[in-house]
Amino acid sequence: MNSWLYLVFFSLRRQLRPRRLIIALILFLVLAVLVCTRGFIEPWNIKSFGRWIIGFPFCRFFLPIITLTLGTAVIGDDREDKTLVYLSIRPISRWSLYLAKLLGALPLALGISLGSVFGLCAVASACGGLPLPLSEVVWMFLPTIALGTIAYLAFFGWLGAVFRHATLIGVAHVFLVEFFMGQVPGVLKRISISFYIRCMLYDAGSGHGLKPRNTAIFQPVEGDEAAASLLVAGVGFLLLGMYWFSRREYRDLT
Amino acid sequence: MNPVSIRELAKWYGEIAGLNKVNLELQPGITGLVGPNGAGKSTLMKILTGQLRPSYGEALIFGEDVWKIPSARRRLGYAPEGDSFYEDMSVLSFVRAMGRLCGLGGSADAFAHEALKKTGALEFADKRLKACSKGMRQRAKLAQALVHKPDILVLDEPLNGIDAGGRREILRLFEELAASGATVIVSSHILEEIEAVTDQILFLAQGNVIASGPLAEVRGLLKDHPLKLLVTASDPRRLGARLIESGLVTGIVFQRRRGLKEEDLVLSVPQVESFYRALPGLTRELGVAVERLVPLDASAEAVFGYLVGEEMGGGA
Repeated sequence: MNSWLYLVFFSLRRQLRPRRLIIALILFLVLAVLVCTRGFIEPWNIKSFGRWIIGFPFCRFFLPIITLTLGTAVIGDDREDKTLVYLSIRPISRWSLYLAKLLGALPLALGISLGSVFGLCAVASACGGLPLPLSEVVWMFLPTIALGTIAYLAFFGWLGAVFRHATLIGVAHVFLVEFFMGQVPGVLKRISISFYIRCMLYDAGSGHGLKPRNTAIFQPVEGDEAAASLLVAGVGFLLLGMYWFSRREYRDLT
Repeated sequence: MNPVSIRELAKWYGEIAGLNKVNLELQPGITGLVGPNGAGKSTLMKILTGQLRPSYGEALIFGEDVWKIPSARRRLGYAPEGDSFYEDMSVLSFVRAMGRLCGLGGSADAFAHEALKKTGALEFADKRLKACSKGMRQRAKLAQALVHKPDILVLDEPLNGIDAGGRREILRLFEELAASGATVIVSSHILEEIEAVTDQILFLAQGNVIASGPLAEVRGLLKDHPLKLLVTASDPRRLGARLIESGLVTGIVFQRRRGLKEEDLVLSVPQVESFYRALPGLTRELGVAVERLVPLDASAEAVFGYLVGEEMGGGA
């Protein structure tokens, strides 16, 4: 247990690579400038902010990209650097090794995503004058973003355990499935994680008029159902990753 | 219970056999793994350290299956051949971290210092790994394998990149570890290195253990390749004639020493033990003094050459 807990901490520290944090910061700054500029032109309200900032660029671009870089790095970094050998020879079972590494990435992923939501809400409040107190706005989006982060991270973590070039596959997934397929009418979009994030988001902001532009085309599910789906996706991909990693031999460790 | 037991171990990569039903029992001490590229050395080491799953059979560490029971790896230290590290870590923090991953907890720092001292890496303990030379990195890799004081050490080409002086130090360390009861399994391309610290050698070729045991014993089994002995004697012609007559040697070559009149004898000796037993009596009987007796092809390298030749169905 002692060595497993240390592995969680060790993995977290390994994830704190400046390049990754700079990418997150740049993406956040781009969004913050967008929020600020639009806020000066026309004041924000929950509906416009939720749809045009949180629902669109944040959940369908920022969040997948950030979790993609962190999730695929869970195993991918060690594979690329050929340091996985130093972990796989320790007295830690392989499934728990995967779990420790994913849990090590989770605080950072949650920190970046929730911190960015908080930051964007703060910028919108300061520049565009959101009609609700900052804490209330943040709290409205927080559970959605937290569950979305967990689901995305587990998915990309699994992808990293399966494929050697998981980042490329992940980028293709983000653009084709999460971004493009999310626009397609019908039920096909339900295979994307972003669909359930947006459903939760619309449910959370429904009291403030936040809803899909065209409900007949979007065909949302209930908020609870969306939350449950994200949770199942998160836990499911985590278990799948653990199983996969425990069974798989990595012949290219050294 | 033997530290390492390998039973019917086979590993297939598709249709290619990496290991072919290998059976081994390794005792404490140093065991050298010798074989050309693709012989199965690395596959054997990776299975022994729980990185690869056997296709058939089992690899046991003190009776526990190393792939199935992760705690078995607590008694195992491994230094891989590859030169990969957590580059931004210092040597000390790397070794300490690996110690903590082995469950050392708060005592990891003291254990890390001890391992670094043993491997001669203490003087550059604070240096970042990316700034270390190849030799320093090899020592760091050895230190991480030793940090938790394992009973079994599996070292893949541990002397690569270490200078001659350093090699002697590291070989001495292996001998100390073996003397303290550890089982040290070392692979190396340079057979002389292994020969210098152990005569317990495993010869691998094409996924098979083609011979194992003390080098002299393995050499003695090579009936088709009589041992070649260089003999410097006071009367080589008389000694040579008597040896042929006695049937102790099957061939003699007279070899003139460079720039001198004197000749040396190169003998082909099929039964080494009988030869060594009979030689003192013969020389006494003839009144010939033997000044030098050097085996020319008893080295691991020569033995390996013969073994591979036989395995391929030829003869060296």
